[in-house]
Amino acid sequence: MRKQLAKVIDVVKVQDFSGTAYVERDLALIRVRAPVEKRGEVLELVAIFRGRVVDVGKTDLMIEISGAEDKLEAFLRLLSPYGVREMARTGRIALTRAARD
Amino acid sequence: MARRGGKILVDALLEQGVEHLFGLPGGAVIALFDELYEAPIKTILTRHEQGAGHMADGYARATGKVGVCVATSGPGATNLVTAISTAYMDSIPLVAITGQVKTHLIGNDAFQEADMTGISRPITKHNYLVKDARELGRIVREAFYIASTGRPGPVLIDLPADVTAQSVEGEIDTAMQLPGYRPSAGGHPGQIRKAAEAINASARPVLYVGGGVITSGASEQLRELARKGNIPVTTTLMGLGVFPETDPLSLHMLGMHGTVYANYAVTHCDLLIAVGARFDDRITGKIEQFAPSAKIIHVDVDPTSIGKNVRVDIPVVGDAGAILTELLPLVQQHQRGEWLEKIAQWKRDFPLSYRRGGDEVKPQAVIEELYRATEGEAIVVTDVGQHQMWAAQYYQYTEPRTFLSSGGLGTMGFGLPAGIGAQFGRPDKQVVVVTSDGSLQMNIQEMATAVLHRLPIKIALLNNGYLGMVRQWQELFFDRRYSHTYLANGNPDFVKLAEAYGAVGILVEEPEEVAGALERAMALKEVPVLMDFHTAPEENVFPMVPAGEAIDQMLSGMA
Repeated sequence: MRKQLAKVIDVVKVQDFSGTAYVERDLALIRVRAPVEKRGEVLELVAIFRGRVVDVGKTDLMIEISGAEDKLEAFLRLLSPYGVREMARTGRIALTRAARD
Repeated sequence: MARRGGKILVDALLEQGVEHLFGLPGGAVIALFDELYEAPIKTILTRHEQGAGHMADGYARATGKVGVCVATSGPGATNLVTAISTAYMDSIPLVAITGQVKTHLIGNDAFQEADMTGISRPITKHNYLVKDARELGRIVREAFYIASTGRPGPVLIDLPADVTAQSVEGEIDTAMQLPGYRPSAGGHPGQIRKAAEAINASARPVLYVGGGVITSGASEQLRELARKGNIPVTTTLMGLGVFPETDPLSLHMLGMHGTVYANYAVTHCDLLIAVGARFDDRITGKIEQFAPSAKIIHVDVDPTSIGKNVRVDIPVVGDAGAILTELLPLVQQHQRGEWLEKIAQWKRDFPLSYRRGGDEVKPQAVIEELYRATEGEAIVVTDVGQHQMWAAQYYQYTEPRTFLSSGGLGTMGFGLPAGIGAQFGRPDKQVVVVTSDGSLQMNIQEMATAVLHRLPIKIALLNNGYLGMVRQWQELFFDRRYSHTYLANGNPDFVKLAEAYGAVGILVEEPEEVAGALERAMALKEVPVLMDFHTAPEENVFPMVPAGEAIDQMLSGMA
């Protein structure tokens, strides 16, 4: 896999993070149905997952959330009963941590 | 001084030393062909773009230089796809230039538009869509560099018509910008030392050699290594000629239609030294039983080839020539008498053979006669199928770049145009295209190109009236149900067809006419000759390892 990636002419460098300390994030913007009577519950979930509300409509909210992939998956699972209307996601991005010395 | 994009391209091709270019014009490349009108590059007009692609490929295989082909946008470009794919599978250096619709029309379903960078992505080593003529000089340099270095392969340059017409003032920067491209060079000294130790310790080694050694120009080093260590050599289809098949150490080809003794040697060896070969499924058969008692050394320039199909004990990444040169002084002279005697016994017990005699023309006999008539000196170019295997088995190749064949993709229709390209590249050599009625008809239109340029190529058509290899499988594995493999009732009269193109046609229906026909054909210069050998319709290629079997489980066909 690593060797295959390195073979692509436009790829300058391939770094394998497995086995090293690294920070991983996945960012999503989610528009979820949140009518007034459900809004409290949704906001509570957002708070638990340390998301942010970035847009408010009459019947829905737009939430910005970032974190490891499994955290986002868990958040989405909990949101889905309310009705996820739209979503955009970066997928996993990562960088290694600074050497500790 | 202002130059148009087309001129920049042609200047860049000249800077790369391009002497021949194979192509066919169309709307999106008219301006480019206008530049070629008076350029000091010999442009060969083909009758189909696929022909142009295979000609550039055959030219590259015969000479080692980068082959160049040009087609227009849309259908012209998509007609190159099979040829590009053929070159990709066999790691052949090719630069394919395709016209594209004007930049502002891209994505607009414009007339003769096809997304060539998208289509060609999985079948090229790299590709470019040129958006500004100022980039063109750099791109052409990069394309030739990428195509010809490391593991070679085709590079596509998609050139919109307005970029070809774009006028550029002054000097342009053509320095390459390839920070991520670092082709492997010499092998790791530690790995080379380990390989040498394994070779010195081995009682039953086999060299398994592929086209990579031809690409690397390492035939001499390979020969020295084999002779110094008394190591028998088997080659893949792509490796034929890299080691002289007339040498007692030669085991000839291995694999599905390889010799019994090559497959036995690989199965019983204690060390397999793979150089420039990729353990293709046609070589290994049932992979779990391939070289079961051997340590494996794998020398390859492409790190992704190593460990892809088989476990490798000693990988050595780098150029075969550089690595073999380093390896040679570390390898001890060795007699290996017992092993060589065992192999000699297998050779005596299981030679390549077919039923001779009878009143039909045997295709194997035609190849043997061809070997005699050309004194083993020809460049043999084949199509794909039974005739390809017979040409591999019954002609003895002694020099690299003398057997040209579509190995990886198995492209029927490759032979004639590739032979034409080879003849342009090597006018000093006799080129013989060995083909079949099925394959030849897939690019028969290039007869016109061969006749037009008075190329002295000889076409040995092994005409058995079937899609022979498929028919053979139907006979052996599908209860002789010859579903849609019969061609004879629709075949043209190939002699008349050759004559219609202005070539010479010779019909051969009797075994005793074979030698005479070849002699007559060889004597004819400055004209293509097509010899239509009506061969035994149901002759099979043996030995044969049925798909999925271990390679020592061969059908001999002689029972």
